[in-house]
Amino acid sequence: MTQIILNGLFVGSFYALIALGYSMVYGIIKLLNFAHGDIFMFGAYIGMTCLTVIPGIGSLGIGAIAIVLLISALLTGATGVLIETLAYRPLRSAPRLSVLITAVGMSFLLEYGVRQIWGPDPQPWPQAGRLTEAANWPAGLQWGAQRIDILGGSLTGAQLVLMALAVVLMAVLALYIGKTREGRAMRAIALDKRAATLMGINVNATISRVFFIGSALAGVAGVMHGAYYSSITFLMGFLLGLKAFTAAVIGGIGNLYGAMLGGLTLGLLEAFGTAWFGGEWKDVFAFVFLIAFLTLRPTGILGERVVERM
Amino acid sequence: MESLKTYFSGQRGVYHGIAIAVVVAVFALPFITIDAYTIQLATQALIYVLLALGLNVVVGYAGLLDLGYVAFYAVGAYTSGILTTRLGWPMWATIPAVVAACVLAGVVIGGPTLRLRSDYLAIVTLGFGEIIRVTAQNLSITGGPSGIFGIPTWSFGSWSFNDGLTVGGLFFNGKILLYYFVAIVVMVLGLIGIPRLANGRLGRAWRAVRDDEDAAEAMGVNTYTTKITAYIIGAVWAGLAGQLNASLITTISPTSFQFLQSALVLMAVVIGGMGSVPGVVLGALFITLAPELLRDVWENRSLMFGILLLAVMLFRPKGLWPATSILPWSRDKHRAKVDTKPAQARAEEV
Amino acid sequence: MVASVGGYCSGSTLPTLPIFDSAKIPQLISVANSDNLIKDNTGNVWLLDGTGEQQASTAMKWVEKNSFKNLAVIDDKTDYSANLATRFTAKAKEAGLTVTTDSLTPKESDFSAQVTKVKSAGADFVYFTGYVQEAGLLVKQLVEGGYTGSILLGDGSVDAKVAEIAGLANCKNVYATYTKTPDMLDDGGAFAEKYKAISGGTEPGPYTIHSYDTVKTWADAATRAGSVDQAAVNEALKSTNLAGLTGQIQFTDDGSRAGEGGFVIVSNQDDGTFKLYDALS
Repeated sequence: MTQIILNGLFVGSFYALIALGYSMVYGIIKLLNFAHGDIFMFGAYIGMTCLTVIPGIGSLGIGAIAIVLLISALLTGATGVLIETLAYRPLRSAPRLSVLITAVGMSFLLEYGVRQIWGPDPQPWPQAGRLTEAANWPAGLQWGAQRIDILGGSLTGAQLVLMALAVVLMAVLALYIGKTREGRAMRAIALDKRAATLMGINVNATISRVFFIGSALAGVAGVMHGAYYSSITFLMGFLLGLKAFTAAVIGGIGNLYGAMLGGLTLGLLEAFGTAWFGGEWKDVFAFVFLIAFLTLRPTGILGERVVERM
Repeated sequence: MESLKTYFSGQRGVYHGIAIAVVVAVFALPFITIDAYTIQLATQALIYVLLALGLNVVVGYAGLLDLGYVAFYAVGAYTSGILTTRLGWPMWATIPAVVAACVLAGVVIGGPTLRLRSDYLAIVTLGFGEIIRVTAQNLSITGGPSGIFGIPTWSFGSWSFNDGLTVGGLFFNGKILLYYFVAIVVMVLGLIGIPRLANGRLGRAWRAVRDDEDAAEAMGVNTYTTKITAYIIGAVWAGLAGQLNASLITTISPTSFQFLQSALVLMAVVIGGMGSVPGVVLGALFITLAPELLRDVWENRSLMFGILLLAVMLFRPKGLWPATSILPWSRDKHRAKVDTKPAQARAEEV
Repeated sequence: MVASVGGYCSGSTLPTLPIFDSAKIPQLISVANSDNLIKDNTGNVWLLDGTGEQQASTAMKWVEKNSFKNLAVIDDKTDYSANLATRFTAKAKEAGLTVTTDSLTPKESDFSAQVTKVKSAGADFVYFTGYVQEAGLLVKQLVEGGYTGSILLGDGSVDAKVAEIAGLANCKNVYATYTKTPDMLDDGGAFAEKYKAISGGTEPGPYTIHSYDTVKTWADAATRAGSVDQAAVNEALKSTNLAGLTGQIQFTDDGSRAGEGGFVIVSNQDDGTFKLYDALS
């Protein structure tokens, strides 16, 4: 039982990180960035390439993973900004349908572009970047594959590290949105774009910033995914993106704490669902929950923070 | 003669002229070639046209982004497949069952979600598409991962299409008969039925909801029933297409109902021209015939499609053959251009 | 078309059957081995590879040899995988052993649910009948999750990639049921050399000798029938008795390969590639 909860929390951390990006973007420009899951995937591929291409990185062990995380975050953040500038900004006054379809097109572009470059087969993650590889951890701090018992269940050290990282990132983001000027600007635009412009806020720059942060988080999640599971494939973002959206809705879209809570909740729901119904029903279970929430409590657990303008 | 000429040079006349030419071409095809491969391809293309026309009602007319359209296609295919192979029903008898199943599916999927924002609809319909596919793969009544095979073609009494038919000294084999059958169905349902709907009150209500839902509501249009009607019509059209396809290929497998298929049909509608019957037909023909004609380039067609979709949305959002296009050889081309930008976008620019 | 030689994956081969059947074309399937392929055989389907039934028997022999008591069987819900898993589970239950079953979804990465199920059942043996990618992920997560028992993979997972994904250190207890490959031939590599000479340097693949045997079988039948006519060849195939690279080739009444199907146990413990471990004869 505890094991199921622990499994759920671990997977939920990934959902939460990706859901944050979805939620932020939706909160500020009411766009469901369909390509967001694929940015997660792109981050993983960038990470893998960094690990193979940068000379001498193999000898750094865990440090390598940290460096690659940073590079990937920066590059995926930049990609997100690029996508926004080239594809979404020109269509800001277009009907919603057009922008959604553009996002679908962008998703395809990312998925099959990656496939074109790296091939359709799943790629094993380089040994140097694996979190559970004992050789990567400094002697004496061999946490990677070590199992740590918690109240009846157990997790590997690597899993705990990843979950801790996710928590830290989310805390930093919450502080950023809550306390800094840029964060206030984001909240202002989410409330009323026109008024925000009147107050002197640079809307375009703020939106770009939102895309950068959201995409960077997804990129980090991508590298974490590769480092832990040791295999990546060009379609891995598709399903995870859908689940992340589900998580955002469950928690309350537009609401940052909602995205975090939603991610963990979805992870737990899936873990229990598969334990009761069998592994093959995992996705069905998740989507049924999505539909249930949208029908019964569309504002999510914590309530959403978007304003429907007349 | 004069009045015929005037008729055919007007906008409507031009459309009707093109339609007549297409109908003639379609019916003449088996006389040009009876190559089994070509006939099969042509039949498949026609089925995709039906599918695209159905999605056109949902996306093009009513403005609902449905990313899981393939779910209804699957429902139709599996319903007819199960009833014919497991219970031995003749294909025509499964039609009411297919329609009923699709209506039910439309209500179940559309019911809760059509009340919500259009953005959510996209993801939820995608989710439903996946639910249907995974369920079909996991249950044994749907044949599990291997699906259903050995589906019979259409039969009436003791005569089935496969027996062939001799008319006026010419023998038509099973495949050709099926081709004509599909062509007639598609034309009646798609090319005649849908434009009639679109030009009537319901069609106008759809367009009102698509352009500005709040304004439509204020004008007394019941947006919810309007949307769900569009959704159900789309569902039934897809179900029938699924049934036709099942009778053509004789097998159904869960791998043919992935998101990629939904996306393909969506592309046919978007690239061809949302809300435009000729555009959508063109789009459907493109996605069926292009794989055959561009085999080598086709390896990474999804990438090509992504780029195409983006290009169309950014540079020609109305599609290749827009709904409001005035054809160059029509005498109406000098009439005033209609401003079709939706009200909401115009208001935002102020 | 006089004959069809091929058929790699059962899921894609099954739907082609009625079509070839209606033309009575001899269909020699080199690798696909789901028993569903011969279920409705009307005399024109010939399986060269061992069936799921035969592979499951081999797996059962392995279990008995090692006295495993508490078994877990995981499939991925595709046709080949589900077929193999069902047959194995039936045999295991017949033998009175405890069996826990579960399925996973291909293309996913997190199998912690399956790992938890295996561990809480206290299994000492896991048989996974899916494909390479999921096999690698599952092995890694099982071992890292604290599972210490033995793992057996179906022949669809036999590939060096499994060790690449799972990490060689995690493959200490990994075995697989598999049919003979070129490197298991005792001709000292002659076949492989001849192959490379003709193919321009490409090594024979894992299923090359199956394909070779399949074509040779058809040629032998056509020679004995004296023509390439479909019906004559189908008739001649029934009495095939030919020495192939995969062993003696004979067919049973229902079109499947006579004999044990030639399955052996392989393991990837040394360097990640699967090598013969136990011929189990």
